Amino acid sequence: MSETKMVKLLIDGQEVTVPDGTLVVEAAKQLGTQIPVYCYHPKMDPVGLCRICLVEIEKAPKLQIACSTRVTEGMVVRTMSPKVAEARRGVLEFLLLNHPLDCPICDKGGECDLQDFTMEYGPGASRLTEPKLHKPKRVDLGPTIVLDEERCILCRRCTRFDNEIAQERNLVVVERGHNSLIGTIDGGDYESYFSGNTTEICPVGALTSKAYRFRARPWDLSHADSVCTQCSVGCNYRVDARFGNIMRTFTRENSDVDGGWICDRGRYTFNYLYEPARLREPLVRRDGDLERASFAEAVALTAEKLGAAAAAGRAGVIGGGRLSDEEAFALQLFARKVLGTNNIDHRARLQRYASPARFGARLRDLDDADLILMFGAITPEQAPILDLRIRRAVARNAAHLVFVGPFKPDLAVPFHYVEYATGAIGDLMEALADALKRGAQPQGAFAIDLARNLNEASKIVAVHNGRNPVAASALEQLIETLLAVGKRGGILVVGSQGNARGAEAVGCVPNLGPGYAPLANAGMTTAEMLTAAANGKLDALFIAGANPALTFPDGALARKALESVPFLAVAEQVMTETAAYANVVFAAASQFEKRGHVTNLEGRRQAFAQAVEAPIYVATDAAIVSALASALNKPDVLDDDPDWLFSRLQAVEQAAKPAEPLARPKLDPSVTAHGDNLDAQRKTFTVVPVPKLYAGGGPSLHDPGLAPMRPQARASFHEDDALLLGIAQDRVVTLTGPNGSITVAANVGTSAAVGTVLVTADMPEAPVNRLLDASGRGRVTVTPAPLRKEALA
Amino acid sequence: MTPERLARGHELVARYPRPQSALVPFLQYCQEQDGYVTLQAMRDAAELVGITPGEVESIASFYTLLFKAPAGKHIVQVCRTLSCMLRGAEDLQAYIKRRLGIGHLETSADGQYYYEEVECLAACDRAPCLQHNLEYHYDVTPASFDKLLDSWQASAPAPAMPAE
Ligand code: SF4
Ligand code: SF4
Ligand code: FES
Ligand code: FES
Repeated sequence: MSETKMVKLLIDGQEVTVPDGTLVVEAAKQLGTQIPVYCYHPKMDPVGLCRICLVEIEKAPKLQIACSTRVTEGMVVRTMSPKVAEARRGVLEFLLLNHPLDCPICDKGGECDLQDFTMEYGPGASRLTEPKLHKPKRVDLGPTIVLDEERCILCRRCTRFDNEIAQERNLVVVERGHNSLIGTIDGGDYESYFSGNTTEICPVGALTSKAYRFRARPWDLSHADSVCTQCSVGCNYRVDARFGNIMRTFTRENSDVDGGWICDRGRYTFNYLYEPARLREPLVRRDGDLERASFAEAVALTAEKLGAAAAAGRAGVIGGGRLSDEEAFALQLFARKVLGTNNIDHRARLQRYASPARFGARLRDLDDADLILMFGAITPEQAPILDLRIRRAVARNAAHLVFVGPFKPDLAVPFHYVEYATGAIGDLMEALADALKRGAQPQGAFAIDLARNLNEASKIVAVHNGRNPVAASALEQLIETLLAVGKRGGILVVGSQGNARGAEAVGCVPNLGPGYAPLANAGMTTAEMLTAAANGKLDALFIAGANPALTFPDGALARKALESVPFLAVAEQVMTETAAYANVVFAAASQFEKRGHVTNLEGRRQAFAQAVEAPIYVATDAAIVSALASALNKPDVLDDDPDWLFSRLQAVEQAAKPAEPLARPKLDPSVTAHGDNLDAQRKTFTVVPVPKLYAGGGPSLHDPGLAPMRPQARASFHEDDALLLGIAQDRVVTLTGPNGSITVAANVGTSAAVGTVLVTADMPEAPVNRLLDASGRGRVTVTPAPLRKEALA
Repeated sequence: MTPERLARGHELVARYPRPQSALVPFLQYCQEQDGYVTLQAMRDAAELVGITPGEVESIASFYTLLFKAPAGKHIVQVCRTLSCMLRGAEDLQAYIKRRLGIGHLETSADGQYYYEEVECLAACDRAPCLQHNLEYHYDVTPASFDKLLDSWQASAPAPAMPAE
């Protein structure tokens, strides 16, 4: 790479040296000089349409806009001259011409750039004597936003965000001139997983968040620097609370992780804390019903049953992916050092690995990758902010995107789709690695194509979901081969839960201790524990922040296990399908009510601060397990203090010296490498669970902020199959497998492959795990529900 | 999209280096056929040139000569900018509105006439200027407007002059 040329310039008499091509506004920032801007946003291309940033540049005949003018050697810039002040006054007078000035009832008041710059640079009064132009003031823009068109200064940050950053282009400017409005096609909903960001970047109070509207004034808010745990990306955000109640979340840029954005799931998932579904005190089952109980009673009962089961070697622990690193560490200490068992596993879904064994990539690596291979991971649904990086790489850097999987996902940018049953990916990758190593031609048109892409690319990032061990190691081989020929590349594994990677790293797996240290005696995996429980071979289970009844692939097994196990204790924030089976339910603190660290999908450990206090009878998971440890006479093993736990964790990890390749978590015997053969007769269909961002039980189910976005459970068929089955769009169908059935409405299209049915995953009203086995596979027959008479008429 | 429309669309797209350039001509074509730019036409256009329906709406709504709702058969647009106003456009506008029985941006009940006041038509030297279905008429007075109206009557009955 060539050296970037540096140029020297003077801004308000101060010298500054910046890379050639820097914008004047950015150069001024280096000196701590804030040039006012509206349309300019550092993450988007400058457009120069608001003119508030005018500055004086020597030798230029007129004032220049600092947001679009690039520095040159010897440039002399004045940002505070009388000419500039006059220009700003003029621009502000125009911006305020039709502005309603309803600051006293505006959410933005107190953090509004129009208010602030007017106070600083604006004219004191308007000279307009005509009536102001009126526009719609309460436009329902969609599930998350209300728009006040009168407040809008038409800076177009919001529409450019939707275009440049989200690559969706649904939010646009309609009409023209002073009649311009922000809108969508035919006044439809602005629906985007990223919509909330526009409310933040809107420099005025035009775009207001429905969840936050009229709820607080910025100066009344307390701030806590936190990290989102709604998925494994780990976006940094700030949690703003008023009088101890969370009002909103706000981006807190970490350019290596989130690039300054958060998704709507992350942004809006917190109001469940204030819903009736929130568990506020422990529950104990008495005469068949779960009833309120004291923490002491819950602890005593659990310690007794869990202790007895452990003494007989018949206890197990599931969970860790919702916990902080400290707490997941405490949970495995509790299993190993208090209960004396290695039966601990955080994996309650299809995911087997939360990390690559070798060649871990960073999120940043996506930015300049020229080939991105997605294997089964549906990043817009499972890691939205990671998907923004992919979108940008494809749209801006012409990166090539290939998706390999059992169905064609809905992606925002063009991609090459390769239909491949999940099980068969491993074979494909091995063949490719082979082809690259030996220069042999791989078999099949796609493989040849991909081999060519691999040959042409210089940096490759593979993103997978950690479900298929054969594919995972084949991908590692593939990257190894690529590195050997001088290319760059790495692997990202999208986590199944927010802190899956942290739970794995601190030892919430049956065969590894903290720091991936292999253990002599492996315990049972989740599937093994559930099988043992279902067969009467486990006496007690402790589940912390996991919901196997809904998410474990073999739902029938999970439910049978939870039903049969003589004693079940669950630590949860809200009532879940799993907690409903429990003998004891602990009310667990949310991430907002504690502090600690979480580890994101790239292995980055990030600290988060406590934002609010937990309700009085709610305890952190660390407090729950340490109380249990004390009740079991092992008070020294554990402490609920995050600092104590963190320093212990660090010490243990240092001693373990995790090195690549990382030891692999134990697999279930049921995991096989090969995919399904499709039923040529199409009497049965292969079930493919499809993740959706707003699906899920637990908090997301109960959050009113997410309620308007909640998807409907759907079964999607290929149009050829639909024809064969006589199914039209929206027809209600029953899918029946060997262990159960669900009834859902059908989608007909081309995203499902022939012979498969795509079913929305993690929907409590129609749990796909009724149809699957422990390795996530399922075959169903399809019966259309009888049509009602009216529908026939 | 109907096959004819699709064929026409492809023909338009082929004329330009970039498909997007065919957007406005295609919308004009759809308007000729449907009387205005329908929602379906916007969706068709999006598909044809490879942009989102939202982007089509943004562009379609920018142009005042693309109608988003049914407009009259006779589109009457009178200039309201300085030169025309100085030369009597104000009275002319009042007269035409009374004569047609409709106001600014309105269509007559029989669907025949649509009236709109527009910005400078770039014919200031012959003010006041009026545009009828894209055709210019210069130095218009209430009297000459009546004559124009008579000439349009061939295809549409002129509304009766309302009583004073
Ligand atoms: S709504 Fe806000 S961000 Fe969008 S153009 Fe208007 S002022 Fe700018
Ligand atoms: S992408 Fe994931 S971590 Fe980031 S805000 Fe969304 S849910 Fe939270
Ligand atoms: S910030 Fe420079 S023109 Fe808007
Ligand atoms: S002012 Fe009427 S045509 Fe120019």
